Amino acid sequence: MEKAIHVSSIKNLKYFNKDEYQRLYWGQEFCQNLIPDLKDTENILAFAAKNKVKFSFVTPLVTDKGLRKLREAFSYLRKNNVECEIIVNDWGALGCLHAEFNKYFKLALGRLLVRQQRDPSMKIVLEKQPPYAMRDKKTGKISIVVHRPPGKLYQQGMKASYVNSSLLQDFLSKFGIERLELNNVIQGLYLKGIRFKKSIYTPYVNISTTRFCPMESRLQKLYRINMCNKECQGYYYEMHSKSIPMVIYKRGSTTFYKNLLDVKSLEKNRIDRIVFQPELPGG
Amino acid sequence: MKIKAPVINKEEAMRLCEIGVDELFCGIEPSYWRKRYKCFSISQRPAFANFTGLSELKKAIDIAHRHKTKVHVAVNAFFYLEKQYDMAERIIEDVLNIGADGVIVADAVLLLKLNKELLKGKDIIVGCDAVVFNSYAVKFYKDLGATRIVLPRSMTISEMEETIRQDVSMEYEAFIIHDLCFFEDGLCASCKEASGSIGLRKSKEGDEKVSLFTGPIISKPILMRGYLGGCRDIFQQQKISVKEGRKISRIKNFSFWGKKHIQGCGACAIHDFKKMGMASLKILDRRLPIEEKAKAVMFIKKCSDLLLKGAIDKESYIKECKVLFRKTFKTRCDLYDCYYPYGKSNTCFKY
Repeated sequence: MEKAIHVSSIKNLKYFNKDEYQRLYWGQEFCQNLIPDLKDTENILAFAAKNKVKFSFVTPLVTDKGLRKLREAFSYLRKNNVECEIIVNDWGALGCLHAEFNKYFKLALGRLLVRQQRDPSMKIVLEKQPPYAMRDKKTGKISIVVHRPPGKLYQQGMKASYVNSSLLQDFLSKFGIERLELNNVIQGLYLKGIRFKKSIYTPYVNISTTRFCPMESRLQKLYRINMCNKECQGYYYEMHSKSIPMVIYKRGSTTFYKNLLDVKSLEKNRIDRIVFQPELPGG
Repeated sequence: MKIKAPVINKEEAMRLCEIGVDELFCGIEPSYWRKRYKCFSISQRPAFANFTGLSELKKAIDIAHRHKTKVHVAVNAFFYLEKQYDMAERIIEDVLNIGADGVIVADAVLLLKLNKELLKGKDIIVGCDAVVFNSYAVKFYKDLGATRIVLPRSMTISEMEETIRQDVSMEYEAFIIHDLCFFEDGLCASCKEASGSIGLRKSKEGDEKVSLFTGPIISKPILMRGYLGGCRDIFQQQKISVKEGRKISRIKNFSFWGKKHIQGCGACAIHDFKKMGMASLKILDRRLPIEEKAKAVMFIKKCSDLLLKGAIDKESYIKECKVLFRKTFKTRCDLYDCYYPYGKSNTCFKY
């Protein structure tokens, strides 16, 4: 089992332990405003070389502007003959890598493109819940709400993703995808038929992502895109709601929940890499 | 620029065609899908927001065609199970055979599977759930056979312009009014995965409410408050310092939706859309009452017509749009509702 650590800023290298990790993930999954600059990447590469760990470059969802920045980073990595894996979270970035850097990098399909069902309430949906009473406000009539758990097919469907499709796997193989990055979703995983290598992230599962950054700022009242003061680098939010049975974390453009890894399930699901995220990965 | 509106039955199709809509879009959940996969939504909407049979859809298509209006059918779940693809493909074949002018899809696998012969001459529209933010992503879907891309609502005007400029042979569609979502459609697990409804089942002891699986059902406390969950919830949030790992504020209420339910309007941007060659403007929300849909179509049509009169500068156009908005919806347009907002003193924030 390969163990990797995901850092998105230089200062997070403090979490790195040479004896524990064999791979370093560097970069951002969710926000193009936080694509690392080349100088930081250079420093990280030096750090990885010094500690003899493998290197993965994580890329986010991008517009054409973000893609230009990524292209610069890819060119830099190729120019410096860096042996590198790239985690792709945008079909455009995948297309660019295929067209302009054909087969130079090893590619992995990122969490945003794997499209698992990430609703934190999913466990409640799938498991039998006790009935409860509900009073009609107008008539005062009390009804009993009974939860009817879904059938086997549905249970399976909520744990699966479209990457279970052999057709998609064949298609992705043509682009050079070799690995899938998976969320450790609360309802469990159904990975039957997946031929790619698999990584699992712990402990954070991304729920929803937006470009209307909801972090607090002077401009919060306006829906804002590209109005980034990098508030997410200073703080994040813990959020509670009556309808969601767990703590939700909001950092930058993305919300998350925490789900600890069941190590026993890894072998069963033939997962060969754990990606540890020491800090909330949002941005 | 075409105006596209949602429709859920033939009566709505008739009404919208009469007021001059150019394209209609709808979903369908035929009986053979419901019978086999009743828990799964085929197009991310509950059953009542879809046509339930091909015969009803055919009547709507015939009405539309009499008015020279196109009909696009959404089969746009994020993804289907391996077994479901064949049925989704069959549904697409059926709707095309009864005269639909195109399909809206979001899943690359479905695009790969579709019979390209059958789709010849039809519109293959990649919906916003496919999350196409850049020109390479456009190319990715074009290579899979797409003829039109729906650009996500959270792209700025200049980002849209840049993407469109790089491939003008492709058609593009933008959201124009209603249903302004906070999260990115294709990257959101907040409501579409947790959509559901309560049904009433008669039992010997009296009425019993049963959670129905139009999509994944919603959890108990959401039902009790009548919410559909997700981003519309009121959260209690507390700020945590990244550096120190400690709480640095008191607990405050927070909702992604701000103070009110956001409807969304981007009529001011039509001036720019026309310049950049946007093919279609999409009015959203299949579940809206027909009166609201008709009102939205007429409003967008009037806004578009302002540009037909000849050269009108952007500032004047926006002023006139705002007047029209107020006349139509009996309220001022609000920055909270703005798809493509301008900041103070009309300096656009997103340009």
